[in-house]
Amino acid sequence: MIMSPSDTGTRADSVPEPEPAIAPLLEFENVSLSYSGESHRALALDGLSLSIAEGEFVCIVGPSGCGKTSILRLMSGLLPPTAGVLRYRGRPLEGVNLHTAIVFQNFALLPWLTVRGNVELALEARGVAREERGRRGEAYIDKVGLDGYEEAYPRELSRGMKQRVGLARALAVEPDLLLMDEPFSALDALSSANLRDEVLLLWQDETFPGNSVVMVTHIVEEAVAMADRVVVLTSHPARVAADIRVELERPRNRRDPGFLEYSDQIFSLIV
Amino acid sequence: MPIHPIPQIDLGSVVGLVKVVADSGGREDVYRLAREINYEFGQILQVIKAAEILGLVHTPGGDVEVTELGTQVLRSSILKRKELIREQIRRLPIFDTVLQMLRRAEDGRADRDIFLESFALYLPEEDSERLLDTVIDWGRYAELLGYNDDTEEVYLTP
Repeated sequence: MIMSPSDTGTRADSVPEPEPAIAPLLEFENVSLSYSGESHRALALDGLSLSIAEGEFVCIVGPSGCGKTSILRLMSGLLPPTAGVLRYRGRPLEGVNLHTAIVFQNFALLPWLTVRGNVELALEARGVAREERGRRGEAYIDKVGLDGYEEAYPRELSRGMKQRVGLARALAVEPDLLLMDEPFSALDALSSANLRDEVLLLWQDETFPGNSVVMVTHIVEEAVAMADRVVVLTSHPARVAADIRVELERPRNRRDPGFLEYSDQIFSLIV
Repeated sequence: MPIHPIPQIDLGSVVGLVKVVADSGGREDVYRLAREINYEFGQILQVIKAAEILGLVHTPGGDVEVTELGTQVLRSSILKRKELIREQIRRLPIFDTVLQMLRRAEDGRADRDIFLESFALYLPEEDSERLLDTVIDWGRYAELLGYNDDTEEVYLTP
């Protein structure tokens, strides 16, 4: 796989260690999640404890089907835990977490709406007034480089462009915490190399809303290329196998020896 | 009227290519590159050709090498990248032709069919539908032109 972020001074470079914040942005304490079937209960997450600090870019990696997506759903409050506590800025999370927004693997765009319509719909759903929707929609369409495509329908866009719409839609709600579920896995190697780079450019931009990101991926190199921290999960049920801080300066190059060491270390934990 | 076709490739892949080659030290053998990123050889050639006509890479003896402009694009913000690439797109003869046709049209708008006919006439080897879709895609990115798929009209960006 090809990747590694591009140049520009980075927030992570200038502040290598995250501040020991008063309360983490988001905290899982002993969280378990099980699904009940007709004849059995399946344990998806088993006593997961993990915290996300403000300003961190955290990647969650693990084998397919290990419950990575469930973790994002828990974080967004779309799914309640079976046991344990989730705290947001120190307070127990109840109901939908409006401080988060999700970028989906398959873009999840409405085909009958234009780029502008898709981005503004997310704002409408959160009760943002019409004028403000227009202003914010335009601002975030511009920010992700989609200026000029406002009137386009998803069917007219490449996959890479579709995911930019997904990104603009998520950023437009100005979340504290951006959640990304395998956001590059539907793209080919070159478009994903480009979009990874652009996501890092956005995250390093001081006007990036929120600035904390949790991204789920099954590609180890992608995690090493992007994250401040990589949380490695085991599967069936998911537990935290390791929580690794990636001490590499950005931009990172997958050909650097340090990069390979991290990749090997994480890879060996998964297999 | 001189029209040269452009490869039917999206610009995200083009910048992705520049990025990947830059990470490999700025120059890479085309075959190796295709294998490494699991691209079909013909397909990677199209991306390279697109990057080359935009001045982001050149291709000395079977290799692909990032140009100074390519490096500059990678070092730039998303908006600056767009600006740099816009200047390159603006210079392509096919955009010159399309923009001239639009300037001559009433209200700076013209039906999709007019362009399809003209592509079919001057570039009979090309799939004119796909070529026009790419022209629209690059034109939107560069903010040189717009397109309304409901009315099937191409128009000059005000």
